[in-house]
Amino acid sequence: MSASAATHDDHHDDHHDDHGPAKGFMRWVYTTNHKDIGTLYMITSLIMFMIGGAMALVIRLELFEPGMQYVDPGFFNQMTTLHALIMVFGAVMPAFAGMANWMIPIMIGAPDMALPRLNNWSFWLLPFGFVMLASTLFMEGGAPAAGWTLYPPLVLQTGDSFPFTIFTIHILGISSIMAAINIITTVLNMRAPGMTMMKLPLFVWTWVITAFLLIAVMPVFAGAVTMLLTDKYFGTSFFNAAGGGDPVLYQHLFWFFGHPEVYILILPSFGIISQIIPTFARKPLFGYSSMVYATASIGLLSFVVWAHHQYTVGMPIAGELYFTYATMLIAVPTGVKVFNWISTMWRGSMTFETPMLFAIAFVMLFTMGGFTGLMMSISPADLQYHDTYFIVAHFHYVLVPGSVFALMAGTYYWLPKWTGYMYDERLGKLHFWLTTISVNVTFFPQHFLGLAGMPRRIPDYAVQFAEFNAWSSVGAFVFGFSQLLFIYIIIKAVRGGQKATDEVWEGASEHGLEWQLPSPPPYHSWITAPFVK
Amino acid sequence: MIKTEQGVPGRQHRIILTANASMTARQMHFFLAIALLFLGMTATGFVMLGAWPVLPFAGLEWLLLAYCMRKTLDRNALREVITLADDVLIWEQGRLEPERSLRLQSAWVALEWGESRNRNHARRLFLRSHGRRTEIGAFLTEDERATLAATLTRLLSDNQKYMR
Ligand code: HEM
Ligand SMILES: [Cu+2]
Repeated sequence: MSASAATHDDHHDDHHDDHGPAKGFMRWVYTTNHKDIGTLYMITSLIMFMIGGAMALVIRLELFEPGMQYVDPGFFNQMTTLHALIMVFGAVMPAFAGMANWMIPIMIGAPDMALPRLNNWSFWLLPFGFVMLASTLFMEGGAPAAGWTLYPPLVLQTGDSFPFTIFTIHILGISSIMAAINIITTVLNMRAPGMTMMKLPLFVWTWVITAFLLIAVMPVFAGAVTMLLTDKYFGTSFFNAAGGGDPVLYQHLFWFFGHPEVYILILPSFGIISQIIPTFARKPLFGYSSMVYATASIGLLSFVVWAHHQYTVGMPIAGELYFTYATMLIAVPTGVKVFNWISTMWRGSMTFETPMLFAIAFVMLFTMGGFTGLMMSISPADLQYHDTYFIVAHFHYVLVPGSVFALMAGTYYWLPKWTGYMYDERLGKLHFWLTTISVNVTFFPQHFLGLAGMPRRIPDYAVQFAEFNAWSSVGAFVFGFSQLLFIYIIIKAVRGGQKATDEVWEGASEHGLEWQLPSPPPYHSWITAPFVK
Repeated sequence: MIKTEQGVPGRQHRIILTANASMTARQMHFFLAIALLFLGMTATGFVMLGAWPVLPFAGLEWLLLAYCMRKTLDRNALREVITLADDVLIWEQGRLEPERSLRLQSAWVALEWGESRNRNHARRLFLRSHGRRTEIGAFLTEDERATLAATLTRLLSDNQKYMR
């Protein structure tokens, strides 16, 4: 990408760490440069976003009207399962990892990640994992179709693709673990002189906590899917009641991983939003240290609330009560964050460039997702909501106008830094409005569908649900096609345009070290650490 | 970081330069202990429920984490020691022990600033003697290099005075 290709014509020294990027395709295969790897992650993520999005459109096409029209139910279930796995592990996580790679060394004044070769590995495992996952579509029995949660005993009915699905999860998990270790090691060990922990930009802080969550829960997931494998092929009965096992044990394992996982998908977004709002409000972030502590408490709480996904499984009443209260507690630190973002904007001299628009929409719409979460945290009420479209509405509000909007905001915010060119602001605003309106048209009606009792993961439904489903499908198609505009805007900025200044956004140099480097930064930046005051 | 030590006043000096490593070994052990505690608690809990395959994954992961942190810490242990004793200047660079070194006649040593590698990098500082130059303090910040240059210049001239 031009981000790094344009830089190194000004050197005249043969020292080994001074070379620019190698030429050709092999540059990308062997690279250990954090900016190259960041770029690779983000391109992969965009591709997966489009593939996962296409699958979502298959789902919404079938659900446009009642009755079975386009796909058979088996394939429909493969689509819901693959859509979720691809979006979570292929689109959102790699996008955050890419931004971490690009920005964390620059933000803490380090020359690169602490473990550059490990970094190369953690990226290059991904394409193998995704090719393997996609290949399951062509296997006997089709792709996995039991939902992204892979609950036994249903998931044990998967055809030939079963071991490949498990193996994919192992590969993606190893990749995430390596990325997490790299990020933690980098932040703990490579900070510039004067960059104390309590001066770290919030994007870095949120990623450190995310990395800790990843390290803490990935082995549980790896263990759980391995037990699925041995249950199916090696005669064990971890989850098989007939052999003395317990299928509910799988649910505990999965959600002990799964709930922290959903926070892995949102905490870096909190970081990005906390970078953007101060820049465009032209004020320092309100309550920096309370932001750090709130993030840490959300991280800690996320380990003790997992069974709110299992209220209907027949828990003891004490369990229901405990998980209800523990889950409701999460609203407190989350509220602190929302309060701080709004206070940062309060009386700021705000401007509304595309990154800020996405950030403001994030604050409003993510909060709505948080509220439905609060509703579902109440176990007697959740008996009604569970496994309905209300859940689908909840997690899409936190994940799309939450995580995905934060990623879009971050992309517009840092794109001029990465490429050296301003993106087209007029098209950016158009993309914002198309996206924001269509996301609400898609997901808001799903609340009503869920409350009225429409179950999730079904290809057909009773006629009284027809109208809201039609709305939702129309919204989804507008949303999907608006993202082609996003890709066009990115490509346009990569290829040229108005030159970006080093600071890019007025006054931004007060908001982080990245704005003190040229746009684009040289291939090797901060070889000599800056001194942070 | 630059640390100066003195032996016989005016005659023996030592300057110690260390790389930018923001974590001490103690902090690393503390962090690894917390990670072990966390992983240990979850793995034990699940083993008690019969899900023992969680344990090997947790163990392997912790080992990888510990290995990676240890390695970074070692790499960042790079240091340089400049010793001025009477008429010789000894420059040594290494981790636990010197890996590269240079012995120069201090009367012939000059400090020289070179161009920075790149427009964002600090200017480079060299020791020059008999037409050969060696970069020193490559891991220091620009401010630190300036401090180093000033200190070294002062010590060298003190030393000259004494030797005369
Ligand atoms: C205020 C914070 C939150 C609360 C109280 C909350 C609560 C809940 C509850 C109780 C459920 C289970 C509902 C059921 O299945 O019956 C749930 C599901 C879900 N939540 Fe949240 N949530 C919150 C934030 C988030 C965030 C930030 C994310 C991700 C970015 C998220 C993603 C999900 C997902 C993906 C599911 C569905 C999992 C599945 O069954 O497939 N939630 N949430
Ligand atoms: Cu949850």
